[in-house]
Amino acid sequence: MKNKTVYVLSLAFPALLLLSCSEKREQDITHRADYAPYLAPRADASLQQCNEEITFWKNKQQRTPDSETCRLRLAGLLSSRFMLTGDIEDVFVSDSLYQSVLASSGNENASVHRALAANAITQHQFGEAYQQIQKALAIGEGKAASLFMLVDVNLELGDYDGAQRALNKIATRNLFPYIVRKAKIKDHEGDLDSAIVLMETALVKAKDNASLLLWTQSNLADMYGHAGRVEEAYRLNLAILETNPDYDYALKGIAWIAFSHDHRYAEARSIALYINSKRATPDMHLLLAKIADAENNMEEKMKELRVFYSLATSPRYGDMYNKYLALVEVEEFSNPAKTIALAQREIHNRPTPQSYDLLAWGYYHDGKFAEALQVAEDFLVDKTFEPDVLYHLGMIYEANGQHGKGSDYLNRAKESSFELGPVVAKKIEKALKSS
Amino acid sequence: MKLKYNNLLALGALLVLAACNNDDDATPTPVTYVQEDQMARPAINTVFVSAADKDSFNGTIPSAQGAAFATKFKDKLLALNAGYTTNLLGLNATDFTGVLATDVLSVALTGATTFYDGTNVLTGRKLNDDVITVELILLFGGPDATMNPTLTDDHVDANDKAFLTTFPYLASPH
Repeated sequence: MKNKTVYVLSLAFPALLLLSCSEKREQDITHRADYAPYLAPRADASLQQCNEEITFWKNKQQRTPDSETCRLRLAGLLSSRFMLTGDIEDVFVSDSLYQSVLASSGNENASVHRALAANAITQHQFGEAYQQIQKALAIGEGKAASLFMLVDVNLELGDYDGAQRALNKIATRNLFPYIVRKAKIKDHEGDLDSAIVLMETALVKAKDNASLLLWTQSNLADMYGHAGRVEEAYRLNLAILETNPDYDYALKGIAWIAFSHDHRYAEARSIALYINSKRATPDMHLLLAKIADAENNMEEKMKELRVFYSLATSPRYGDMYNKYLALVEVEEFSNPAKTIALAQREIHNRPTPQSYDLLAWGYYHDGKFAEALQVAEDFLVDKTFEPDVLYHLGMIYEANGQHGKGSDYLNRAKESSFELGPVVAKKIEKALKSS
Repeated sequence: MKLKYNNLLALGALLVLAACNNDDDATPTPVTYVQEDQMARPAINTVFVSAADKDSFNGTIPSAQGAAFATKFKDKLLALNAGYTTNLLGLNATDFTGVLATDVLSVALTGATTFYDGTNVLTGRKLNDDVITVELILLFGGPDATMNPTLTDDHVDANDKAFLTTFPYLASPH
């Protein structure tokens, strides 16, 4: 009986898709056979190697407790291990090791300031990261590396002119670190085509460095998805996993394609659950909540959201999840006051258009449409081209009775339905129908 | 789905750029090399080159380093050892810092290969040479290596694990 129901539903589903899509019929991109080998538990070779190196340097440190080299090596390895496991405690220990090296070397160590800046970026402490980079620049050594990180920090802080100025100071412009930052700036400017061409150039240059290659591939895969080139994004994610089966970010990318493009919710869930079994971070629960939402399973959705909330509000994560907490507060818990407070905190930390978007979105849900519009026009319009902001702008203009602009933004957001996910895509459709 | 950018930490690699070109008649794209680093006497570099000068020192070819950095090296030498006259090599401050600022390893084509064996000085460098102590002697030991006896020995007399007798000769990590 149960099987029969599933069978009938599976027949009905493509038919519904046909009815609901004016374009050609959707083709599934993801196939379980492609990625199933990466869902089997196995020893994580990168993590194993990292742990071995940590053990090595800890042993050496016991023999030579004053060794600066041991502390620097351990600090770097702990930061690397955080990237593999998501265990934020490693970053805290890494920070304290770097600080102890600075204390003994009289602060004259630019590379340590850069490493501290990288840790601060990881923890979304962008003001602290900026201060550390300024110290590195004042010391002078490794100026190009410091300038590249200044570009990164300025982008996080929303100082796009500052990012461009820092990049302009780099003389050698045909090398990997310059090209990827140029790509980031182009992407911010909404020139995705140029960003992709630059990232593809960077990919060629990274081919001899395994970790840079994976990093570049995963960024390029995201950009392909952003541009609606979902098949290419999928192929690239598979290529990453072929090189490194434990590169969970690529697996997450495939989960998103299964979810947002193919609407294979059970598949997306099984991938997300696998990733979550390996590294328990708040992110996966947010994805699981979105999947449950798309399935209209509100009980499951609220369960996942509560898990996300309790993890993400842990003091050890500091401000790392502010954006997603702010969105959840207003969209799921109907708590715009908390969203507005979180938005103001984010604006203080990093006055980017994305931070102001949270404020406008909070006002919008609080029924303060005029305030929302004011923030939108002062800080969002023509300042960012992120699809979620375009969607919010559409809703804010609609609420203010400006239907022309409203439907314009909603239509632009709709073009990025893949990136926004099926639940938001449906909301956009609904808003367009009623506008 | 949000774009993600990991932090780029390791940027020191020198990338060699090769052009892909299908058109045989086209002028080949010029290949650009940039000197990023060098490491002949890293301890001297560490002590004598200020943090602000590190990038330009590492990017300067050795034949141009003397002219560009010898004066700064001399200032640093006299700041470290105001009583410097000459050293075991018989070099006065100007000549000695001229040698130091040129970041190359010298080697004698005949005779013993050693950083310093009591007789020969800077005729090469072996793995088990007590390099830092020799450098301290040259900086602080005066013409016969006897001055400032508390400053002329790092008291690390050997590697803490035996070197190998075959390639790669270095001890395994420990």
